[in-house]
Amino acid sequence: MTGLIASIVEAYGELRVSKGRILLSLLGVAFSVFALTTVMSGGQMLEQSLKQSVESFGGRPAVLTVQPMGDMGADGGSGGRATVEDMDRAVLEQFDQMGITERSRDLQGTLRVQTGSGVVAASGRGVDPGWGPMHRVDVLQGRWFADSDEGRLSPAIVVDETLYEKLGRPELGAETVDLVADKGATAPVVVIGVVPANEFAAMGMDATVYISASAADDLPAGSGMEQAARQYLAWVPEESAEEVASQLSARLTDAPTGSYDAYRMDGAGDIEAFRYVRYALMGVAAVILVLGAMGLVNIALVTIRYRVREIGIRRSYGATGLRIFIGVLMESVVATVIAGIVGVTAAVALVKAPFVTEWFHSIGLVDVPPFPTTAVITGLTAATAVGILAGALPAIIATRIKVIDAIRS
Amino acid sequence: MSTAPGAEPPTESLAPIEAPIPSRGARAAGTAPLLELRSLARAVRLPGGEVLEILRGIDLIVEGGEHVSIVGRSGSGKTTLLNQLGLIDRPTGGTVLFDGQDSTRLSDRRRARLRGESVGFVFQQFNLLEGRTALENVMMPMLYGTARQFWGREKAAMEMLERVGLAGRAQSKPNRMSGGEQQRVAVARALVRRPRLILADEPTGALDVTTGEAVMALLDEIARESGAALVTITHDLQVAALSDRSFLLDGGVLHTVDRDAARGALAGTAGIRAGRAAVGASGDTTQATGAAVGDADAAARVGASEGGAR
Repeated sequence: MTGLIASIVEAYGELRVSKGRILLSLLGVAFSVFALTTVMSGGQMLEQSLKQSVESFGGRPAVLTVQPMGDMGADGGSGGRATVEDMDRAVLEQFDQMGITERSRDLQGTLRVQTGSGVVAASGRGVDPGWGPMHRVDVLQGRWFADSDEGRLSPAIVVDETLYEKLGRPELGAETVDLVADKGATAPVVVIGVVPANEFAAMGMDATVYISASAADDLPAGSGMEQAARQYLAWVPEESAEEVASQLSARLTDAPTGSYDAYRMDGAGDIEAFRYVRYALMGVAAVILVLGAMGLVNIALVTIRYRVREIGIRRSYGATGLRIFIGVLMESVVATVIAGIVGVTAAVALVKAPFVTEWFHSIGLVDVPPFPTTAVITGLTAATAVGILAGALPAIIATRIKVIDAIRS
Repeated sequence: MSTAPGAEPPTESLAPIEAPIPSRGARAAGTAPLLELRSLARAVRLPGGEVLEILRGIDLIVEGGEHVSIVGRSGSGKTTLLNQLGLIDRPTGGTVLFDGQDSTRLSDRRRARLRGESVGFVFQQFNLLEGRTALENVMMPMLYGTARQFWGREKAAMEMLERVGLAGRAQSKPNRMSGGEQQRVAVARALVRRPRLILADEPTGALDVTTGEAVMALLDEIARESGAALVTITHDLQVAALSDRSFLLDGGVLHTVDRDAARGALAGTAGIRAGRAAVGASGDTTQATGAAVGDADAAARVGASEGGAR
């Protein structure tokens, strides 16, 4: 252990003496580590943000959407068209038969909410409890839906924080607010949870209200949900998504309520495409790193020729070949680790700079994730690896220097 | 004390001693000498395939605490012999026993460790590490020592710098120091690990007479204090005269030199040395130094002749 510390001390001493040379040789390494870390961390953060956005919209991989085909729509129980209960039964039975437990109905319509300053139109979403985990719903206050919410006299709703503010922050799970229907009819509901303002806000919608799908079906006429687009979501293992989708389509082709189409709707493909771009950028950074390493090797090889006498002196005072090897290698490693730290620090400073965060927000990303630790580790590992590779050759040459020739030189 | 470039001690009149050259140092019965060369030989193969014998049949015993000098002309094999004594090079024949242990059978790694622990080098050109302070130079050998030596390196180095009178220059770099100061730093570096054998290769070769004498006296004094053996390789018979025993290396063969006779002859050079110092002050050192060496060579011839008869 002392030998290793002594080698580091020795290496640091050499770096201190030759700081000008070292600084020049390490510019390339520091820059390439900076580039590598920036691309990797920025890319990861962007990917993570995109993933969050895509998953909150389309669901996590792999969410299958089962949608009625043609003009077959629910009429709420009137006329000859299929009722919502028939549709639910037809699809959910197939889910049961195929063992799909992670599922949800998904109704998309509009709702009007009475606030202190008037009626606010909101995007209405009728869902089952399974919808939340499927879309990575982040509940800021209160809770998401549970099975126990079914059959409540005052249905439970979850609202986004914008609407929650407009509602005057009612007590969660206790205080009722009114959904407004036609002809002055209202339906009292209870806010049980608050979620972040989502991308709908950015798209011009004022607010979002999540309500139990069953409760949405029971709302008074003119509430805005009776004509809601109805679909069913199934969260299945990614590797079997295609197979499950085709089976579901086949099983629901001739359902009593009509035909249904099952397909994958999540945005995993978009994220995958973005990942390839990130890999390409990382490849460019890696090439820069290799070029930096080659420059470092070049300078190290020249330097070792100037250090023949010094190495001979050290050998005469008891330095073994191994110590000389480790010493020269350490010089390279210590130097590149320092360069790596500089590069990584610069990358963190850049990626976490306010203008970059603002840019993330400007492209519609709500949550900017923290700087990824993997990028830091990769940057420092790359710097260390470059140090080892660039130091090994000069170190081998250094151990082959003959002590007698070195002292006489 | 210095010799002019190209001035070599003539050795024609020296008769080789064929018998092993014994040590005068005291040693407890039954213990091995510090260093013992037995029939040591070193040869190199020249590019044409011819073999050049640099050292031949050298027998030498060096005891702890004694001061031995080896004189010889350039190309006589002095540095090659020093490399053998310092475990830097391996012989092509014979053995080098260090504390009774045959060092020729040791691995390079163990030889390096033994060298670091037991041998301190003082070089003609000082060989201080550029860009490092005097203190860092003296601390350097401790990097290769034990954990205790490593962690206590600064204290030990400062003590040694104090001992050579350079505590005040600890933070000075070699390029800001005089030749004498640099060689004193080199002496401190050689002694900081408390070696049992100090090898000095022309330690005064790059110094003026007065400085050289001072450095040599300091080296001899510290070596005696620490009980280390001091082997000095030199052209200079004044330097050789400080030792307990002197040898002449000629044609790769080691001959003993009678010290008393040489010392007596050298006494007659004192006036010339004083004159040389005066000339040196006026700037014309070459001629005066050459004169001094001429007398020293004469002394060596006398001493060697008598030593050969001993």
